[in-house]
Amino acid sequence: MQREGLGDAPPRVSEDEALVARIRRGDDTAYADLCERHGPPLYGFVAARLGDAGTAEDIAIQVLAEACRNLRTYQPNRGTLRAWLYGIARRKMQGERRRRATLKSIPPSQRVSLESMEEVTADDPAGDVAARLDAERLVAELAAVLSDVEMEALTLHSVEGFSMREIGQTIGRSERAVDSLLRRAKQKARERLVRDDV
Amino acid sequence: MTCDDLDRQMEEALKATRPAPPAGWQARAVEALRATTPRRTLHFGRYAAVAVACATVAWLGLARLPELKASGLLDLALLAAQQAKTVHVTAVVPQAAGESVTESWLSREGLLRTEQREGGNLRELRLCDDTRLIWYGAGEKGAAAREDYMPSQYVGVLFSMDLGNALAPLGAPLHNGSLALLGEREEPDGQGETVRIAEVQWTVGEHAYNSLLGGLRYPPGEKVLLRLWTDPKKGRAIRMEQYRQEGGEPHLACRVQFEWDVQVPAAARQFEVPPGTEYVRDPWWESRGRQTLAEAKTRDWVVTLHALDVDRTGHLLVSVSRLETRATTTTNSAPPIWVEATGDDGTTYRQLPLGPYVGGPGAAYSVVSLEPESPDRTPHRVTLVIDPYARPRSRGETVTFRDLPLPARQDAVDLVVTGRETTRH
Repeated sequence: MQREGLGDAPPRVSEDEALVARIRRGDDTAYADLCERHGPPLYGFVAARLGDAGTAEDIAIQVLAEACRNLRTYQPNRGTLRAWLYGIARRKMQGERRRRATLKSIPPSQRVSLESMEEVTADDPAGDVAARLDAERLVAELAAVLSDVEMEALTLHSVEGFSMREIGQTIGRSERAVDSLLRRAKQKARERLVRDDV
Repeated sequence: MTCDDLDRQMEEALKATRPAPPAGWQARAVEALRATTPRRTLHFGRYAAVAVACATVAWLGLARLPELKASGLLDLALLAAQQAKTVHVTAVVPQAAGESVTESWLSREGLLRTEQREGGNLRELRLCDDTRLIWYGAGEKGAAAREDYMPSQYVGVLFSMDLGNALAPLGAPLHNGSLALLGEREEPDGQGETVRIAEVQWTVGEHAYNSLLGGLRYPPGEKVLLRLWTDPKKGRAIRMEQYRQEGGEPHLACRVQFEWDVQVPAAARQFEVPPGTEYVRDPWWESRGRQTLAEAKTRDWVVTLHALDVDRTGHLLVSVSRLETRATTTTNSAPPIWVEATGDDGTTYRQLPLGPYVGGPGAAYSVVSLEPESPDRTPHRVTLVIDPYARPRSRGETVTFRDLPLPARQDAVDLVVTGRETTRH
């Protein structure tokens, strides 16, 4: 199933640096370019990890807004722009997970309604829905055996095409540590897949 | 199945479950990002940049415009406005039946007053001083006014928001729509000084909150010509004219006069209720707002629990307020305060959707009404979990006030209107 942004080559750093420079000097059109370039994959990353389209919408916007507010603190020599953005996204997702832990005590009927993932999949062709459900079941299996950071690293590597260095910049670990983390995550995932024959 | 096969299966599943953002998300994101820009102006670095820009302008005369859709002159006008302590804005809209005049007085020290007159008759007024928020409206069916409680710190927080409205649409590109510079020049003002004039084409954005000035609201997509006069020394806006295209010709739609850091007349703080007005005031609400039961801080909010009341049917009324510790809200939307309550006997409460509320995104005071799961339950103590900024996608900050003693039920169903004063002037 082809989705927007999938299969794209990783953005070139020089283009991101030019984008940052335009935002810093107040180029009004740079915001749209930032959203177009990094918004869809960032949203997809957050939505897939949280499983909630509405929250993902807001968090992805918050990430981009926070990045724009704090752009003067971004240092290209310490990491790529997208690694910085995903790092902000990780912190916000951790906050959301904590918030959900407290929300569990509120009966669903009393919560402000949250949009569900169904809205996003409603336009899928019928054939895609079945394949998607299989994929969701498989990802749920993975999430059951992997920690949050392992799932994030695996996603960044397999889906976003991050290098080991970029993953390290995103999650705050060395390249060697990321390598070990990914090996461990893949091994756990394989064992689960083989055991359950999913 | 090989390891590569399994890895490929994992990768395909992860890719297939990564959704694309819904339609319109990107436009909302861009709007939010543009709204972040004004906050950047509060940073020292931004002031320094503006100081350098001012110095450059002074040295070069009429400086080359920066690479912005909006003129640098407009940016300077917005920044200069942010440093003002008071502003007096008069917007005049020519109409067939006479002029509509909207006059605003804003002061950082706690005053917001906007009144609109048509043919000299007062049509609308909003007056917010140290403790009162007065709304007045006059129409064909008569005139009515309502006085609400508005603590002074909230007035201060609202100053920036009202200033932004008073300066609309200078900030259009920061929120929505766009500004394209048509030309810029200097002219003598007739009193030995010069003024700088910019002509700008404003394309009204999809969202209307930043397209209202002097009672005029322009439809999305309309292209309006703005002519702005600014003080070359301080960069402040002096005058603005807005022209609409009608029959291929520009027609004056609104003219605006700005006065900065002027003495606010005492009369601006007063409101003489016009004869025939029904004036409603609820002292109960104010009496609760003046109390403080408990206070808690999160990273972004100060949450004050003012009072707890229980009505005849066992409904819990929580008087509560939020105040932002630093300006971080990125939108003009003002979500409600959300309260979860649990009694010491296990009673849970459901928040009702309506309740008295004043404020904006960064500051709000509200009486939240909560219905018990059963009216027969009478807990003696209650624990409250309060989300001060309760969008479903909020910043995830809640505070908890534990084990608070509940007062006895009062013999009234609607406590807020207890002691309501209605006066016919």
